[in-house]
Amino acid sequence: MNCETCQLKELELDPTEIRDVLRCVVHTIFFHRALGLVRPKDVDCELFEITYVQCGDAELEKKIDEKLEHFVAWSEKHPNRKSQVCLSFYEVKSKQSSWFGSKVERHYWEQWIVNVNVHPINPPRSSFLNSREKVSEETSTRRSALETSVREILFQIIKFANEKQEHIPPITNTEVVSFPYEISTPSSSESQFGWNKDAIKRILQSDHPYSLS
Amino acid sequence: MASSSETPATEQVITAIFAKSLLVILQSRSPFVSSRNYSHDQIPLSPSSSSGSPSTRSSGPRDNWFNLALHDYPAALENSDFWRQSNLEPLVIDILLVNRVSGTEKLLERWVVQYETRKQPSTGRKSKRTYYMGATLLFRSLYMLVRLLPAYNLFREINSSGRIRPLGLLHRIQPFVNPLSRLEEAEMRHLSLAPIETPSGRLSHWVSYLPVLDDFSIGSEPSTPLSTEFIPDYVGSPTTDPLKRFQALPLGSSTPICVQPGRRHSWSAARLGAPNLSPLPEAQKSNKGPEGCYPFLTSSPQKASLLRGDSELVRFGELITGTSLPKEISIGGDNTRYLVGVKFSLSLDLNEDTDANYPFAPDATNRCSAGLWYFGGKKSCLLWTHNYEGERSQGAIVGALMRMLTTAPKLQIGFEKSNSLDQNPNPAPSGPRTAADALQELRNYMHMRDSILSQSGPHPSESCPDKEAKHKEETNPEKDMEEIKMP
Repeated sequence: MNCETCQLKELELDPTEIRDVLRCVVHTIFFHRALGLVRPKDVDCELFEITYVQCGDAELEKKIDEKLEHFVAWSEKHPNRKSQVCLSFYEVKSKQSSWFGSKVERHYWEQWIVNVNVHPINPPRSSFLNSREKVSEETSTRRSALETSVREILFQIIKFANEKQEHIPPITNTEVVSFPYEISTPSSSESQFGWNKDAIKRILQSDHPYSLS
Repeated sequence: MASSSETPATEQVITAIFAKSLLVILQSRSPFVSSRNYSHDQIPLSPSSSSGSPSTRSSGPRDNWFNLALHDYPAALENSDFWRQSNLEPLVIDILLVNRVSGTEKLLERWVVQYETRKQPSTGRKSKRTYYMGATLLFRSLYMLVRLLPAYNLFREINSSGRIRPLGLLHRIQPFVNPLSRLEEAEMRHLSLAPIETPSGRLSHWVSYLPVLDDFSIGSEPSTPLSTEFIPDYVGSPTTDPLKRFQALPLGSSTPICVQPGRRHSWSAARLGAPNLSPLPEAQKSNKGPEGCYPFLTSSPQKASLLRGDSELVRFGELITGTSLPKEISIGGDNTRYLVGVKFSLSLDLNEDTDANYPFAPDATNRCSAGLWYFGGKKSCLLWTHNYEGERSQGAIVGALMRMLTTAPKLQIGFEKSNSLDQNPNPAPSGPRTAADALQELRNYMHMRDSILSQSGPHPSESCPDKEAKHKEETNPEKDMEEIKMP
């Protein structure tokens, strides 16, 4: 089984935009991979005119919010850095060990990497007379560009989820989120480049060759 | 009914795919099918219904098809697919923007769901689970996609207003694909979802959509919407300063009045009734024109369009309240009437050649009436006239009046009573006067006197020697003139 990886387009975010944008992206990914019985819930973004869909599972929402808060806290301590939020789906396989019984292993079959560049957007220095209008105009322009980027990412998710299906394992339960998952955010063990060591380690330790797409 | 070579179970799934596609699309495009109009409590969700068996044709199980629980839809939607005789016919859903006023329509989206049989069935056995999984994944993408396209926000806006708008969304379901026009092909973008492979065929979903919805402009309406510009200070606005300079008008020109195409402004009698009217100031003589350009005056020989006649003048007089009303005076024996109550401030240099400077030529035969136009709160006014005959411009008439006033001969005692003045063959010369002229005038005077005296008869005082001496003196003016004759 291949581990399909989807590298999403990088997002340049202001710290105040992290929650709204990442919540939209992460929930959209889960909606495509939560193949249990789902009662979709339409949610409007706070900052953009974008409506995304949640699975309607309270536990999933809570877990996502916790991870995003952790990421926000990390980004506040490490400003102006590129980082990633990694969403991984795996299946648990037990491997019979010769001596110590079965060993549970995770086989990651899909990874979604959300590339984020968080840096405070400082208003440019403008003349005193036009400062407020100019700041508002530039903020509006930047926000519009960010909305376009978010839309592109959502289309990217739809395209990837639609095209890559062969690697998806069979559904073995009736839970809303059919497959076990893992949300990884930068931690103290992060390299200086913000790469997720655990994700890379997972890929390298995978028994099967991985593919990057 | 034409049928494919699919098994009944597969046919059932294919039929459900068509139905679910229709539901997903219309719930986010048609206000009548919108799930937002229903509460979430209507759907009974239970794990036992996860199979999505269509055999139990109740709202719950049908809505759970492909693990996507959707709200029930009304009977109208259920009957919308009655025309479909088989799964071999495509499902074409056009989403149109309709202008209820003009009746025009514009195609926003075209969704197509089409099943095509494969000429040769696939060699590998495609289990029901496989294409069901494929359909499940497809509907996740479809559900998200209908919310990402531009028409969704339009649908939300129309659906949420709750009032009848001139523009609305309409859907049209057809069992065939009408070819798009060349313009539509050029304007629209195309997206297709991964097809669902069935044992004997393939189900495809694609959409053609307009990427940009520009302000609801459709059909015969202009493609570039007219920009709306609000002119806050239009002429005639009650908030506009009547003395405001308008850039289009010549300023500071030698002519004291501005060129303006003849049009009726709302600077009418009502404007004059403003409570802030004040008495007119003293005349201000300067080489400049009056303050500002006043659009109601024209230097072109046009009919004064603002006045209609004497009645208009009377109205103006009535409306000027709170000020010293001008009193009517008459000058001369003609029908000229002037309403002059205060000094006016025409800035005309009377010492210069009037014909050269004034754009208006005086006309002695001009019969006109004049009035004063007051400006609320401002210190200047202008004199305007109305020509009954409609031949002279207001400025020309002003000039005529000025000429009349400045060149009017001075009143002389006894001079008016005599008719001989009218018969004077020698009118007073306009050039410099010489002694000979004065002598001639004296002779005329004496002749006049003699004639008057002869008419009145001999006077008792005539025998008086003093009088004779006096008479002698008086009858010998030439001697006197000689004495005083200039060398």
